[in-house]
Amino acid sequence: MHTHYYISLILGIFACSAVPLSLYYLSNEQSTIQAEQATVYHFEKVSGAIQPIPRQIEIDTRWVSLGKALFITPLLSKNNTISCSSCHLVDFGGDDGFPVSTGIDNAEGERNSPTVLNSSFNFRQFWDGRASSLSDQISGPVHNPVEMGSSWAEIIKKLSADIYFSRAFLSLDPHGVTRENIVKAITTYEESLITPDAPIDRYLLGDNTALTEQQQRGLHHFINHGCTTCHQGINIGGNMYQKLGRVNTIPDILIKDLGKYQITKKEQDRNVFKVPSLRNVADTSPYFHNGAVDNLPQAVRIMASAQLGRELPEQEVEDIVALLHAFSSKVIEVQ
Amino acid sequence: MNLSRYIPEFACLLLFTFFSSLWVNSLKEDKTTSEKLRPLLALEKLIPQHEVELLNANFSDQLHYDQLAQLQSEVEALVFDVNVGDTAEQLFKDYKETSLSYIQLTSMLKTSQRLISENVRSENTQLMNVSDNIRLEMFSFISTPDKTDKATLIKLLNSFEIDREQQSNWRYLQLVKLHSLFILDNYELTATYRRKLIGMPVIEAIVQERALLQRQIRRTDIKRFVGIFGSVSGLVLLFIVVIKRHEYALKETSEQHKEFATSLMNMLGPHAGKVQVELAQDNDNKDRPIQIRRRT
Ligand code: HEC
Ligand code: HEC
Repeated sequence: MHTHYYISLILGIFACSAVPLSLYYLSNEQSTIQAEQATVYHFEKVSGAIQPIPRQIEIDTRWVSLGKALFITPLLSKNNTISCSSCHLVDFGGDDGFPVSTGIDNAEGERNSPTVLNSSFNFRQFWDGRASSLSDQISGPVHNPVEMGSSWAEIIKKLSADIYFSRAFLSLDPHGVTRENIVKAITTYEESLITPDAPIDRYLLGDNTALTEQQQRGLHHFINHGCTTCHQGINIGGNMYQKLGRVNTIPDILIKDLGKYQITKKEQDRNVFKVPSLRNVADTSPYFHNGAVDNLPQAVRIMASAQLGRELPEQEVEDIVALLHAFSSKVIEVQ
Repeated sequence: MNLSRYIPEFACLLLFTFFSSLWVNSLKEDKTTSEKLRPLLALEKLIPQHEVELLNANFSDQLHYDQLAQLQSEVEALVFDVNVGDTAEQLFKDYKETSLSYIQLTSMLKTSQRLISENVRSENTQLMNVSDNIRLEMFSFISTPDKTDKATLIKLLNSFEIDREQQSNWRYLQLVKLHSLFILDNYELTATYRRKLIGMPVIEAIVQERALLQRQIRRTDIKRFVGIFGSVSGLVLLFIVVIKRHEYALKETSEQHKEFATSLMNMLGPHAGKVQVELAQDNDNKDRPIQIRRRT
């Protein structure tokens, strides 16, 4: 009778402890946030409106390689026909060279694809800034029926069935192919897509021969005429919103898309766009949110008039265009 | 087996289960509340920095807004993360939107003021007089916006004919006209945004929300304490019950043995004198509570 009693007692205690213990494990399950090794840029500050792009970067290269593979795989699209790189050609300015982008089934989008180069320095993503970060932006093209027309469930299924991807994900994270890991890989890859050492950067960092004389004149106009009101900082843009047609009327070809207004419906947001970065702008024609202008001199004339109320003499347009070519460089190599 | 005999044990185990679950639950609550508190504390630190950076933006030595943009996206990400009451949420949203509108206008106003104050010389003295006059009016507007007749000034500017054929410096005149109009349109609005930003009780709202969460954390702490105390008490009570039951069982056996001894003596009857029965009362001899020795 005694042994029986004690055994029942111990079993009882075990059974009762199981209740709080299982509660504990259940509540603990979801909140295991893995510590991430964030990308570090070594910024170099100079005096003046335009800042150089960091020449040194610490980044997890394993995630970069996986992100690159994801960026070029068509598996992310509904019918396996297009990839991120169909619209963002990283070696050719980071955009697609078309006025507006073409997605699956040749459907035309409404906006010009912006460059993905240096996009990690933008304070928000997209022409109207509707995504507040790069990771936020990814579900944009993936879900947009005109762009890739897919869904996370579908993508995760396809990537898990793929031998290369399922192994690559597992080797980096025990959870394997998950939405978070896909986003992390692509974001890390995008963070590696920076283009330091452009002539303008070398000039800012003290190499006076990096800009030609004409480009130096262009820089003088660019600053004095007030382009750097909006196009300034590391990305020569990308750090604020501004109204297209700030002080003057805008050409009809640019008037239809109301920009931020389409999201907020507030009068002060009419024709307001994120100021685009002018880095690599010489390689990213056509220009503006709908790609309506296909050459730089015309884009510069429109800007000077609509944003600054200034009709530029031809010589100054040429000088500024020459300067814009000094904003281009190649993507940094990460080992 | 009669289960109702064991009601005390069941009660203690139930007590233990209840309080230990309460304890675990309080741990979980504590974690969620701290997770809610984290973005609030970060915001409390970042918003003043953001506000300073924003209000400094109209100084002429602020040539780029990277720092502000960086803070802006950090603040926006946190505002997206925080879980606060409706009024506070609306306030955060309002602050975010107002700051985005403010920076657009204030950065451009700086440029416009610089552009209209640049000196351009021309042989056409009549034209120079007109433009100098406008510039003077504009400076007086900027220093005392409420004392200047804005409507007349706008009318004057709009009546300003710019003739590309006749006027050699029409570019300059157009620049002055457009930027003056921009300043007239937006100077007061910008000042309104500025006052609104300064007066916005964002920090107060954060402090309030934080106090709310901290009160919740204190409540959870009490709950955890009660949970720990209750579950330990449950176990201690159980222990006492077991000991009591044990004692009771001992007493029962010894009673039984006593009874047995008495009946044995009765049974032995006539030889009783020769047999001495010693009843061991002490517990040390519990294996052999009764010793029977023969007298010689
Ligand atoms: C069909 C063409 C297309 C595809 C495919 C596509 N994009 Fe885009 N991307 C665009 C367009 C168009 C925009 C601008 C949309 C807007 O502003 O409304 C854009 C914007 C972006 C931006 C914001 C850049 C900035 O400066 O605002 C990033 C980053 C980006 N895409 C990354 C990606 C990634 C990652 C993928 C793959 C998952 C991808 N894109 C697939 C066309 C495409
Ligand atoms: C008031 C702010 C502002 C000023 C000042 C300004 N810009 Fe812009 N710029 C913008 C905005 C906003 C856009 C995007 C407009 C759009 O696409 O609809 C833009 C777009 C551009 C583009 C096209 C970029 C692309 O990738 O499509 C070029 C080139 C450009 N600006 C050059 C200049 C030059 C040169 C000046 C000076 C003469 C200047 N900007 C002054 C705000 C400004």
